[in-house]
Amino acid sequence: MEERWILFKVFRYNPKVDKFPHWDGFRVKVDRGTTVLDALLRIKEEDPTLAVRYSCRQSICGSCGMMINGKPRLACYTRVLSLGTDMVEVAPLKNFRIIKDLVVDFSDFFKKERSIYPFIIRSDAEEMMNPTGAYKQTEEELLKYLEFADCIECGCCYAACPTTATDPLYLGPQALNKAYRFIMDNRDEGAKLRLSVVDSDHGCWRCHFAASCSNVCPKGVDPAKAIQFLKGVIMREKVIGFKKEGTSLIKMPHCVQKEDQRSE
Amino acid sequence: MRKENRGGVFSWFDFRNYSLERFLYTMHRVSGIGLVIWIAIHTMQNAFPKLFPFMYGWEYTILLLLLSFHAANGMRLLITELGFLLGKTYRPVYPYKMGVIYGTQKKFTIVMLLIFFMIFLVMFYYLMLNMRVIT
Amino acid sequence: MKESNLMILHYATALILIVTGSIHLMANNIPDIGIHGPLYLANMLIFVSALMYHAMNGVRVILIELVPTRSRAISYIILVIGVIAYLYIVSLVITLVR
Repeated sequence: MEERWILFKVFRYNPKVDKFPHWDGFRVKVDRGTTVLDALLRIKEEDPTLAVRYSCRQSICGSCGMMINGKPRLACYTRVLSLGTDMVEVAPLKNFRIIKDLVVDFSDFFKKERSIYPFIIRSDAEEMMNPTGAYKQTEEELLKYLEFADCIECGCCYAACPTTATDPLYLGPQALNKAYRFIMDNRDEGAKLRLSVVDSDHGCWRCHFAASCSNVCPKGVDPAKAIQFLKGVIMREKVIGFKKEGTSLIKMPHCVQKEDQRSE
Repeated sequence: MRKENRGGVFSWFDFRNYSLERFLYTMHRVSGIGLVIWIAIHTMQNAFPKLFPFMYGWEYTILLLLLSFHAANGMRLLITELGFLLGKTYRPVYPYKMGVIYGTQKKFTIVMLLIFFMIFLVMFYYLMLNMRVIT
Repeated sequence: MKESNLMILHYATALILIVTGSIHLMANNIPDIGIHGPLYLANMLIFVSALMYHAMNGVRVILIELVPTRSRAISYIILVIGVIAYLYIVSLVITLVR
């Protein structure tokens, strides 16, 4: 088994104590299966004050995003030897406020996501409160937005985007991707509401198609494509109008809970 | 900026780790600003020819380079930002291809870069003709 | 104005610039093309109008990304500078082409 010693240069900063950040060096023995997250946990055994966020270690939760050798990646998804260098530089995700060491503050990020109403909006309130069936959606209608629904909200796209680097009010590729996903869903009726949020001073028009977001996305979500499609939808709405085929309800009486079966 | 850990303006020019489109974005910004400065200089040259003498030729070479790049990349941006020639949506299956930087959009980008070179060469030929470098 | 209306004008002026700009360059550099007099002047006026809008909107977009909290002030300042520069350049064009 091929084993090597790799030098890890880790960013350390505790805003409550330190005036300036500094870098600490650790030597870790890695083999061909070791991920950056494994190496960081071994470093944590040596120095327990290192702050790292991680959860599933299988690239589905989106917690361990960090700048590895200058590019935003998931630590659990990146094998150390695949980076090809003898020294690996680990820093917290760019464009987010640092809480401590490698842990950053996502509250702004989630506030922007909430501002574009990331849920299905429909007018038939009675059906939404007491469902009697399912909404019909064909395979073609599903494929229009399915790719953009795979987002795990890790923040790597937000760290890579050149516009978020200077503009703290920009919605960011993740929020715009989610807005497009809900606009193209044929079960949703809230397209006008979301388009008015997105078509603003710091909305989708501040994207200039640098495509760094799609370059770094670990789940193949492609926010750059979603944002260009979103601009196309806004333009089409002005010229020919944006009409969406709605959906119909498939009644499923065998699934509906009867009154007398509900336990008090 | 340090407290917020933002990249700042310097990250507009940091395209080492990313794809071709990031480099084209940087060049589009730089050529745009260069063209605005060029317009100002050209207006001053026409308004006060004694204060700002014409350097017949060499400033036009810079103009041609900036202009042909900005026009060709601008045409690419115009078409893709209206939602055309971006490729289809599909079910993402591992290993994930990195999105819109593969496929149809990339081929279109290469075609646009070739158009940029051709426009530049055609205009450069006429410029050299006028500067009497060639006859 | 809404941002998407400003961007529609940005794209429209880009197309106008490609057409009128190439006519301007061809008229000045290719020998024996018959574009002079009123045709040249009309082309110059359309070219300068489209150019001023496109350039000023581009500068405005860059400035808004650099100073995001002052987007209204930046828009008004750019509008004023743009109109003044446009009037000056149009007067210059008319006096020079005559």
